[in-house]
Amino acid sequence: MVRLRTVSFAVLVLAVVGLSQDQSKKSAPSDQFQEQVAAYLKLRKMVADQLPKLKPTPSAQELADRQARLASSLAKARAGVMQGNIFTPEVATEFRRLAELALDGSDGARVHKSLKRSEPVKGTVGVNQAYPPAVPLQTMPPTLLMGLPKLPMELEYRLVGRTLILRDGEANLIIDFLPEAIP
Amino acid sequence: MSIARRQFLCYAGFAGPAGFLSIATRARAQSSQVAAVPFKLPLKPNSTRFAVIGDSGTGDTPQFQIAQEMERLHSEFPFEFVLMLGDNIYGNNDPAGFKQKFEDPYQPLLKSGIKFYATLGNHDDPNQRLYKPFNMDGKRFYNFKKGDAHFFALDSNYMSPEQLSWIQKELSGSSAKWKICFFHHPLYSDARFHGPDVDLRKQLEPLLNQYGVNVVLNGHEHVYERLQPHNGVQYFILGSGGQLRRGDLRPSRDTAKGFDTDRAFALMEVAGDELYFQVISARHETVDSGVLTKMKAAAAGQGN
Repeated sequence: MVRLRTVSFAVLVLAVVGLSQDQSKKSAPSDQFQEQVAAYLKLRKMVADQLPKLKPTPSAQELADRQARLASSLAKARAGVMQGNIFTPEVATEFRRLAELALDGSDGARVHKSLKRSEPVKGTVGVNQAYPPAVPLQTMPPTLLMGLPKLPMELEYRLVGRTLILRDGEANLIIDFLPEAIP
Repeated sequence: MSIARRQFLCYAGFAGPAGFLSIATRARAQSSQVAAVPFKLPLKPNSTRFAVIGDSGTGDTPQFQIAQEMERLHSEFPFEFVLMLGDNIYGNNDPAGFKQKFEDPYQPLLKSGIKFYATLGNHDDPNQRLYKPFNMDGKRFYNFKKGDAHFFALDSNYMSPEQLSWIQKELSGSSAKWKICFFHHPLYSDARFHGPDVDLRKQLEPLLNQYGVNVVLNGHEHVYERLQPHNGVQYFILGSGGQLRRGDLRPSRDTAKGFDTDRAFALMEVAGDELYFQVISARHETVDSGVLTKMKAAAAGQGN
């Protein structure tokens, strides 16, 4: 019975991922991005629904356990997913254009100044990997955030050097990343 | 006119929609000297009393020293809660980190029922919002009221358009006498290591000015600095509650008071139209103290 449920779940996951990839071929980059994000959220909900709901707790251990279980389950459900699964070539081009716009002109100097002062972090990142827990989260300039597509509360943009990361905050998991996103 | 002399004048000319702020302090500007005799906060009936710490979560001895000093002063100045200005847990945000860098140092205060209200710094896992002792109610930005004061905790590490809309809505809907914002990254700073976050300032400051914020409390820079008011808003940096970047401050004309030779925290008391503050070092010394007074608009032009 358990095996059957697992198999059914895996089929559903593949269907969601497959459907979103199929849809992405037909739409504009911004729509593609939102479709991929929606597909991720759908998958995420299926995974999260199998775990105890996370509520504020006085136990740091409980927080850590929940984060680890969510991350592990998501990574398993998305096994084999590669860089570019959300930042497809078309989406990547669009994001680089949006980032360039945000960092252009009079705003650009200010945003670059903020980026330099935000304790920039360096390192390598990978899809389905945790954001390194002891590495600070680089501050995102508000002007840059205003220029990028809106995200649901489960996801956030982060920067590691010039790489833009799409991070699942609660799971501390890198969903996808876009190298050389920032000019 | 010397900068030191100017400290003793009322800054009545700085206008804000909710009124005007004047400030009288006992501190000399740009001096690293500390007063040996503690300034007594007034302990007025029904006042709102709180402590402020920033960049505290090292788990090292100096953090414990500051915590002990807070505990010692709590018997003289029974503050009800503590504001945390971010970088609450450095390094791994694992259970051991929470214990060593928060639960152990502040255990006596926590046992006394003192509440801590945290805001997120760049070293903090945003999941701290779910850690009950930080009283964030699962939110990265939130607000609460105490007496005459309305507190707004922001996540300056990720100032999204949604958060900007939220703060605009909450500030515009608040009729509190004192609107106090606290978040990690300073909009103004004379510390050398980081400097002010100019992009955050560009997006956030107009809202603070428009909706009558009176006081802004920041960390991030590991020093203490009280700046000259900007558009009626009094900015404090209190980022040395655990960390210290000794000698990092480069005082300018914008510096009302700076201290970068020891760790420090603040005690504050809101009573009617007045907000009293006292900044104390790990060596029991008063680093800075004073009172901010809200002045009615009609009287604001006088004495300038």
